[in-house]
Amino acid sequence: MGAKSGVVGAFYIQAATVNTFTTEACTLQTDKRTLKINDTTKIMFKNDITLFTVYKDAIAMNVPFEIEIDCIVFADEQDDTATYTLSGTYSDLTQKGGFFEWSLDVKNKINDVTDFASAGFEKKISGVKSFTASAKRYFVDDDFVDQMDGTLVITRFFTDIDSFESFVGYTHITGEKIGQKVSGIAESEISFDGHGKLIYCNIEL
Amino acid sequence: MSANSGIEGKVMMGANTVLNITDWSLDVKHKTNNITNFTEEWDTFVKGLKSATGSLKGQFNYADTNGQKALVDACLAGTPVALKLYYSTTGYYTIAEAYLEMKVSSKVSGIAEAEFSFTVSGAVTVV
Repeated sequence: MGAKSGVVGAFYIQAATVNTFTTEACTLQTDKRTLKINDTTKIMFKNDITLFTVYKDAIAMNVPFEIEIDCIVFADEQDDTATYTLSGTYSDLTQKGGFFEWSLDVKNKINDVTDFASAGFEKKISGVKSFTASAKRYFVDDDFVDQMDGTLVITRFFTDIDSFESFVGYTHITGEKIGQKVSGIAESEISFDGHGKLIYCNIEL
Repeated sequence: MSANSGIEGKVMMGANTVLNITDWSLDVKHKTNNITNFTEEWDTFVKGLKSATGSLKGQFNYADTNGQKALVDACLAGTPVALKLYYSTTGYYTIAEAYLEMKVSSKVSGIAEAEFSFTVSGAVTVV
């Protein structure tokens, strides 16, 4: 019980369709730097900071921030008594044909902080996290090669498409390995490097 | 008879069993320091730092709220977890702080699988 059949797995990627939204309600999180949009149907933010404007008490803000997959993150803490809204763009996702397998690899560059007081055992603290991924498909066309141009795309890896359980993140498409053999069919494996955080989400498509 | 059947194995995170785990491994190392000098024919050593790494493998199950979900969330957040790795019904290794990495995969001809690898900070003890 609890195991997921691969039959309900899926791989989705950012579609060409983008949708704009205007002054959507947001909630500043307890860290006072992360701002999340309340309407979870719009969290797949297109990673282009020029398309986003944050409003504090209905006045456009001119402060540095970064776009993450389901939020924006201010460089500095903000006033948690103010009302925040956001205008921006989110992307639709689409299921590409032919995919039959995916894998995700999440890493943490652990830092060693062992000192004389460590009683003979190495001590560690967390470092920078990163992720890479790959997805295999029956070769259809060369559109992934065309996308290896440094553009960030949203990739969503489903463990269960029926309940929308998935890992989502921004990625660069970093490679496509294509092969053909007389005894089989043409296949390709697309590789991705993660950009920023990876999240687990079950938002409906 | 002192061997322990794998059926008795499990992994616990705090007070909760991590579900759908099929194997665990723990690799404890000791970086001995070489003090061999010209008068000796054989390498000689003194003790150095100990360290440990390991892994948990199984069927991916994010619905396991206090087990696999907690491991996934800790991995994505970079926060350490406490683990107990059982080799028998009563015997286990205790790890107070483990930093996680993970591999998750799904294939249409199989099942969604997870492998959590960890690096231990501090001591490993055994009961």
